[in-house]
Amino acid sequence: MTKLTRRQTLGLIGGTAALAATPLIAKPAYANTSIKVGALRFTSHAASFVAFERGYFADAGLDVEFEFFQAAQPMALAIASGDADYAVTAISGALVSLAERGATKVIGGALSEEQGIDGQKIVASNAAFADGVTSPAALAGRTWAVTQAGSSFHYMGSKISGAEGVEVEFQPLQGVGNIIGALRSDQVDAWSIVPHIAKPLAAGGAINIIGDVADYLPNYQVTTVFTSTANAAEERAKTEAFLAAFARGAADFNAALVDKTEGEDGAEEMVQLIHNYVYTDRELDAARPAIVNGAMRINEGAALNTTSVEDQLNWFKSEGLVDQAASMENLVDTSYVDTM
Amino acid sequence: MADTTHHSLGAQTERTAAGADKPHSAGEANTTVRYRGGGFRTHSIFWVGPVVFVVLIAVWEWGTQTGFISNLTLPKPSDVLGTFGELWRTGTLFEHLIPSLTRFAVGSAMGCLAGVIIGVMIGLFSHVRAGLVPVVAAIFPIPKIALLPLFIIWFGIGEGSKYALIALGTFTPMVVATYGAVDNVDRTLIRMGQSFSLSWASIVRKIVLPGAMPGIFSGLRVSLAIGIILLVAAEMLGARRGIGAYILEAGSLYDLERLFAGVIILSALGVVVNFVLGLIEDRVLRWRS
Amino acid sequence: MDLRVDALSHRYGNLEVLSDISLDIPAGQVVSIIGPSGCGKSTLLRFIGGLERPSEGQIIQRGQPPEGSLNPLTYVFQDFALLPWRTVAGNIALVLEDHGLGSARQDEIITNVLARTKLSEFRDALPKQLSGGMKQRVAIARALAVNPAVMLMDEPLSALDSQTRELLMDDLIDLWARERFTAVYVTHNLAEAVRLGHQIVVLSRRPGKIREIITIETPLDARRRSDPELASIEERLWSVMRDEAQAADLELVDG
Repeated sequence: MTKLTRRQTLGLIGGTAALAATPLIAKPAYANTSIKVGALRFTSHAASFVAFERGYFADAGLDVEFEFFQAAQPMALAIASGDADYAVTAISGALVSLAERGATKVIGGALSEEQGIDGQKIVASNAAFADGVTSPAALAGRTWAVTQAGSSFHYMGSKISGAEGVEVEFQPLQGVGNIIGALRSDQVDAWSIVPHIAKPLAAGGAINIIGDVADYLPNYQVTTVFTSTANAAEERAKTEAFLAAFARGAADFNAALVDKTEGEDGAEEMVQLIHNYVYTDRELDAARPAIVNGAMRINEGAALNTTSVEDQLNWFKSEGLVDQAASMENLVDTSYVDTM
Repeated sequence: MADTTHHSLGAQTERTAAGADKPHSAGEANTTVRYRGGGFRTHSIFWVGPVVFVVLIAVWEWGTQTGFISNLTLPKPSDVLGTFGELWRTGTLFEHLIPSLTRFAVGSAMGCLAGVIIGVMIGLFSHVRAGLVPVVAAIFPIPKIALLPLFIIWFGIGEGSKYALIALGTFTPMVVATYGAVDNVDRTLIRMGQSFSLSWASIVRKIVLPGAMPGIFSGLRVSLAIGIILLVAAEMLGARRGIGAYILEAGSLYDLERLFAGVIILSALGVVVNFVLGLIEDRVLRWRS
Repeated sequence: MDLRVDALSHRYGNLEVLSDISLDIPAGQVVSIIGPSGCGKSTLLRFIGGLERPSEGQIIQRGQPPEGSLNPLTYVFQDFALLPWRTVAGNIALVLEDHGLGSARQDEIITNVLARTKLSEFRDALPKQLSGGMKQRVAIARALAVNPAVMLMDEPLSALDSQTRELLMDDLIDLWARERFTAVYVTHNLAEAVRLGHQIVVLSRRPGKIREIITIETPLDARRRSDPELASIEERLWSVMRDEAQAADLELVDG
């Protein structure tokens, strides 16, 4: 109980400080507007947390309230239904379907795979590893865990096995927790997952890291910023204000934890800030390695890698997971950020 | 009193004989007793159900065609029908239906059979009752879906965990229904059996079990419906084929047409199971008045 | 075979229901037991047939049951106790199946008892198709099938309407005239007791004690509904029972 209280107090102080500072630092670029930002309690959503804690949203004239979700899919539905305004998520079959139905639009890029930066890992269960699955080339005939058909795990597994010229069998297990359980008990053979989950499990001997996703999918646009079509089309000023503040948060995050140009103190300050939102059930010392390990680059200026997005869209179509008529025009609004 | 009765009866006869053109003119007016026994009785009108169905679907189709109902809210019924056509033509329907029906049949057969056996034992033996009723009461409210990850460790990610989930889900309501049914067997019939010195086995086989049949059948209805519900849960983990997996995949892709097609298949499965059960029940329980 | 009830008493906890009952049931006779409601007469019948155990006293069997008796002490219940899922023949077969008679012998017995109770044409009917009186005749046929030494009849006519009761009473008298069976006949109906009993045992209200035993010499088949002698016996019985019945009626159910 005391821990919670302390954290709430910290949050309050941070929030109050940000609000109090606002009028002194800069004039809002946009009239004070309240928006709801959907978020998962993952390090990959840190840019929004930083922008909030450091007052960048307030600077932009946005009064932000976070809506926390347990999974990406309900968050996408919340954007479609108007219960949240902006969120960050992986490109999934659901997101494409919702975009085709005119409900959502991808407006920017967030997390990217980048060679040289620690990214998502390809992992194998102990039994599979002992049986010779020590590299992705040995995956022929093995099972690959996915949350659901059309999830990013499905995309990665398909691309990796395709690149190695092997067939894998996809095993839908709904949740990350289920997948970890199934891997630990050797019920599935392989999976790909963000480093802050992969590394501690591998260190504990539960699974084995057998490769990097970045080697197969360089510049993979893992997550994107998206909003409702209405916001993208009719609320230009608000959307721009959000993206600008988000990009400032992303820049701070990259500097502190990815490029590490802010030194030890800068990194520690960032970890503490993120800990207000992520791994709140652990002590700071226990959460620190997971936060540091999970730091992947968030695109500068929320730039969007449309080549990667298009590759993903084409893959969904080729697998028959989305309507064959689905188009980039319906999925992405490229008018907000730089594209790559 | 008797006089009045006679008088009015006479007047009635007279008026009937005289016809309508000569109204009765006596001082006391005759009134018909008002009928007040109506209502509170439902009778079946066979055509209303289908008509309501058709009207609902027509309104739904019209709404989605005109955009009055957005395509985010509901799919077009015609598109759902199209999805069915596709499922049928490509043979995917049976690709999904057969594994699901197998899981449903094997899982609920195991669960219901075990449930009846344990239920009868609880009904017959005080020690079993004292020992197992609390256990069953403890298992009953557990959402079986929560145990799925555990089942995967115990029974493997293949068919084993799916059978186990459906079996456990159908087992508990079957136990409760069965021992309730055994408790409700007419005690005078059992005493009759004893008074004719029937053996214990004869009393159980010829009196207790047939007497518990109506209760067992109503338990079956509940259990099998739960079995169908659990089919979706069972196919959450490690299933690429099956109606449940199909629905879950459609949901995760936000593909409303397939989602609805899958849900309709499940609901049709429920109707068919209920109908077949009704036929069997009519045969087996022919003796019921 | 005769039965003797010997100094029988019974209590449920502190509640004494039967007190020091001694009674002879000679072969070939019908003993009627009457008493106000709650006097323990049905309980007494359950002791006689061994369905319950008395606190004190015993039931003594004198002599051997007749050759071929499958169930010497056989009950006929107030609510018939027929299995609704078995046909008339099936209900009778139920009490024969455990004796390993072979299907031919079993079939022979069923045909025989159905003929004796005039039920032959209803052999394949289900209980739900039969009237109350017919159901009780099936129950009597079932009792006859095991060739009992003593029939223990627990208000067999109480669930029937009065006309059916009269008809069935005549049937029972006919049956007795032909078969001379031994029976204990529990009832709360004075007319039935008087028509069917060679002896009439009157029990007092709880705790049930024997108030009086009346013996009627007129043979069963010679008794008529309008017989003034029977009417006067009935009148006497009523005067004995009246106060008991009234007092029993005023008692709280749970004492």
